[in-house]
This record gives sequence, structure tokens and C-alpha cells, in this order.
Amino acid sequence: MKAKLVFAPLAALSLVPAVAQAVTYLSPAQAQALMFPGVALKPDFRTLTPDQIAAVQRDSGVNVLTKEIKAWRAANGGWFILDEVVGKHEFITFALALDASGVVRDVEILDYRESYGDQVRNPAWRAQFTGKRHGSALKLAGDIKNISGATLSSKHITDGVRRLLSTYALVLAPRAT
Amino acid sequence: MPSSSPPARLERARPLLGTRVTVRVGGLAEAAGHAAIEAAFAEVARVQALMSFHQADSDLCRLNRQAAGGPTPIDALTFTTVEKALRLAAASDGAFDPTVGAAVVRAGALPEPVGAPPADPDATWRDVRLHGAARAVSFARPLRLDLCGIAKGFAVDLAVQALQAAGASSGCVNAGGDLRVFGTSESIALRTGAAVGEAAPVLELEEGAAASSGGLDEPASPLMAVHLAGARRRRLHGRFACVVAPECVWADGLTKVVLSRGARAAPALRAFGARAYALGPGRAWRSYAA
Repeated sequence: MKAKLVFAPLAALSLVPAVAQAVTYLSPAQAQALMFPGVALKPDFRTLTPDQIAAVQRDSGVNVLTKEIKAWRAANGGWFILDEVVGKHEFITFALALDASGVVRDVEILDYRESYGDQVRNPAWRAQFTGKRHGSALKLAGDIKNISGATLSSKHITDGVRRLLSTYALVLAPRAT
Repeated sequence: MPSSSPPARLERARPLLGTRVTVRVGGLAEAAGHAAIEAAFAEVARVQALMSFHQADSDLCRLNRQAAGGPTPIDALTFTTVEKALRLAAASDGAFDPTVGAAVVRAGALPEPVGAPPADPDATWRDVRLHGAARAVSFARPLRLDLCGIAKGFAVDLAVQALQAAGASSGCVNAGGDLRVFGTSESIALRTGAAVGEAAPVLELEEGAAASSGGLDEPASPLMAVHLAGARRRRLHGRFACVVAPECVWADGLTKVVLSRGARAAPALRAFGARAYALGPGRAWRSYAA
């Protein structure tokens, strides 16, 4: 085990863009290939009607932010759905894989954007560091790709999945009309 | 296209354990790398299914329903986790206590398990009994076992083992800030929740695990209020603690010990080969058991 605590000068805050995470884990095509290996997927995009939106919101208890449903139907009867959720600190694109009976097979996060904390986005807080010089000795082992601290919950994704399960049951499923 | 040359880096993320879990792997070709990542996620999902406070069919919920009535057999993985939780509770003289679940439920941060007998408010970790031969657990009085953080840390350890077993030369598993690194070094920004002066604390970690607790935004949450200021807690010694340890399971549990004991956490830190960086009330950083 080797570890040390260093202090990265916030100075010009060239660090902050690196700290405010923006990660692309998978492209939609990569996610499709990993979640439905060797299975053909056919786009089956839908636009929810106002009635369907109301029904999904009632069923899931989650607000519908977009009426466009980016869904692909798999040759084996499953579904691949792309969706987005917005949290207090984060913006997330995720993919949901359902099997032919509508059961969740997997959830993968495709894109994730997170701020280091409110103070970083706060212009007044940032202003106190402008004009300060970079520390000369500082050399990080690499880009900052990790944040450790108060745990961010994945509640928004959980809510998003629940909303999509309602969307599936009410709109996409074979028995839905 | 031949895929013999390893890609620079493969990384994926899934929502698990109530947070975002990311798995990074190095030294494997693309298909093998993705298989290793899936194996790592499977370990995390296994811990979630066995030790979730929210899923009624988990081992943990079964214990909270039945173990006050006698020895209740559980999965080997759950048994090991309870064993580790009790070991840390003993080493920290109860500063870490996996039976704070009842207080967490009272604070509204966890749901009351359906069908469980009313929890005895005086129950502690000493009321949790292990029955090794039967791989069972019993409670001397009704209580709410909560493996939350320590199970998350253990899941990270298991995921890292899965990557190593798959032949990865480097990797990093991060479960909402509980993370472990091997074969590479990582820079980890510490989210203390405070503007701590002119420099942001960054942990440089090579071969090992780290976990953090506290932060300005966290003590306000019911969960932290219970962990840090609850009935059996003393005064808060710091407001943010990051613990570095060879294994993530100890790093996570020890953060609570550091926050509640301050410098007196040093013996417990040493017992697990760990070191802590803590931000005190005076905004001063302290290092314990270096």
C-alpha cells in the first residue's frame, strides 16, 4: 500500500475541469453489442402521447421529462432502451436491457457528468482563487478520475429504470396497445 | 480486425449498492477486458443481493427477522462479512458498530424490516453471535444489523479479486468513493464539502484502498447523524475522514472510527495496516497511524 495526500492548488483552477467529471464509458453501439451479444436490434422509437405520459407518471411516480422513447427491439424479444436522468450534481445517460418478458437484465451507465461539488460551480467561490499562482511542486500521478467523499446516491437512475419499466408495460410490451 | 493488442483502458459503470460503481481494467484485450469487468460487477451484485437492507429476501433482512429467535444459516459471503464487521467492532471498542441499524431506521434513513421483532434499543454488536460450524448467526436480543458500508468495501475487494483472477495487470474499482487500485496509481479528489483554503486535497493512491466519510453536506443526513452523534456516539472529532488501507472493507469501516475517536483511532488503524487523513473542526488536516 502506497498513498500520500497532496494539495492541488486551486489557483487557476485548471484542475477543476479535470475534477468535474465527464466520462463516456460506452457508446450506444458498444452498449448494444455488450448487452445483446450477437443479437440483432431494430430501432423502434416511440413518441409518447399526453395520455401515455400521464399514465407512465401515475404508474411509476416519476416525472417524464421527454416524450421521445429511444427503444430498440431485439430479435430474441428483449428490449434495449436509452435514457437520461438529471440529478442535483450529475447528468447521466444509461441503457436498460430487458428480456422478452420485460425483466431487467442489465443497466449500464454510458455517460456521466458530475461536478466536484457546488462550491466549484459557484462563481464567487471560484473567483477567490483566480490570479493565484500554480504550485510549482505539484505533479499528480494522473488526471483525477475519482472522487471520494459523501456518497452520491444512484436514486435518479433507480427512478429512471422504474419509469422505463412503466413505459415498457404500458407502451412497448406486446400486450400493451 | 485482430484484437490481440490490449486497449489503453476499459472502463464501465453500473448503478449498484445504491451508488455508481465503476470498474476499470488494464492489460487485457478488449473481449477479455469486458468479461473481467462483467465478473467484477457480478461480485458486487452478489453482495447487493445478499446484504441489502432494502431487499426482503436478502440474508441481512432474514437475519433481522429471524436471528433473535435462534441461529439462522446464511451464505458464506454474508457470514464472512458479519465476521469482519464484528472484528472491526471489537478492534474499535464499538466505535464501529454494525447494530446501529435500529437507530438508522428510527432516523428514517432505512426502512423498518417487515416481520422483524421490535429492536431492543440497548442492543450492541456484542449481541451478535457467530456459529461457525453451522455458518449461522444469532442475536442475543432483537436488533437491526446493518452491513451497509462494510459490505460496500468488501464488494470492492471481491471485484478487484475478480479482475486479478481474470489476468488483469491493473485495475480500479470505485463504489461511490470506496475504491481500490492495483497495478497503477490513481489521483482521488477528496470531497470534503468545504472550501478548505487554496488547495484541493487529492489522495495519490498506489496499490491499496481508500474510503471517505463525513464532509459538510453529509453530517446533516439522518444516516450520518446516527453514525456520528447517535446514542452511543461521543463528540465528533473531525468532520471528514479518508482512510487508506490494503483492503477496502477496513478502509470503509475505519472512517467511522476516525470520525468518532480522532487520534484514539490509531490502534484500530494499526490493527488493519491503515492510515487516516482527517479534517478537523479547525480546518487542519491530521494524519493518524502513518
